[in-house]
Amino acid sequence: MSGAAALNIARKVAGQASQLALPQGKPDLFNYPVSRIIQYIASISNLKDPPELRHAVRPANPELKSNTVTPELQFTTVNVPGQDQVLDPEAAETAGPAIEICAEGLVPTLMTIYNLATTKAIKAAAKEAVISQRQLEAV
Amino acid sequence: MDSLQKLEELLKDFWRKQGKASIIAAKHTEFMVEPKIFMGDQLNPEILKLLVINYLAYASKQDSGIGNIEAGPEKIVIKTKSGKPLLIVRDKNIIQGYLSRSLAG
Repeated sequence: MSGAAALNIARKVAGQASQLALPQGKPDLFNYPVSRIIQYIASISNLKDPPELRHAVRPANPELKSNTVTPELQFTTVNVPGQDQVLDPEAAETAGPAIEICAEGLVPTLMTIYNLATTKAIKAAAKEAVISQRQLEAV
Repeated sequence: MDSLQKLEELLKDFWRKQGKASIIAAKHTEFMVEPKIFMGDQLNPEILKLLVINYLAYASKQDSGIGNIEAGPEKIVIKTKSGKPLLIVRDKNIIQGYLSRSLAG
């Protein structure tokens, strides 16, 4: 598997991968190629169709480019997220989503960000985005 | 960079600062898996959750009765300044966390 292909798989399962946490203390070493680790992450992922949850995978160190990934690359630490938060699907369905925005659409979403923001920068950016979006919708 | 992209970058920064970034260490490099902020017209639920938790933490410290949070054992309704419901929180952990902080405060 090429590094690029491995990255593509990583993107597909990144919804789950984003929950991976580095273990405390001395980590267990997974001396497997990156492709094996990614397959492992995919196998524990509950996401059957994750494209809407695709995440960007980028080097933590900006000096390193994603194309530095090679088939020989080895993950050194991987941890599995806790499994204690599995919801009863029926209960979840009847109760509604964990957090529900009362109105649908991009503008209400941006308004929600504006209202929830606790920093001036995010508040200002959300306000700006609302104005911009409203202008676009008015055209 | 348009306003939406700017907001996305700020929210990613917020997400990183809140300690949600997971760095995958590799032999020769390491990766940070970043969330996609918007999925169509919707906000990534994880980002929304983080914003809500942060907002409630801030609100409970400042004033648990600021008027735009209606909290009960089953749900929390966050309202706009004008009193219009903005969102409904049904996540038990968030509700319990907020209520316990409010009682302690």
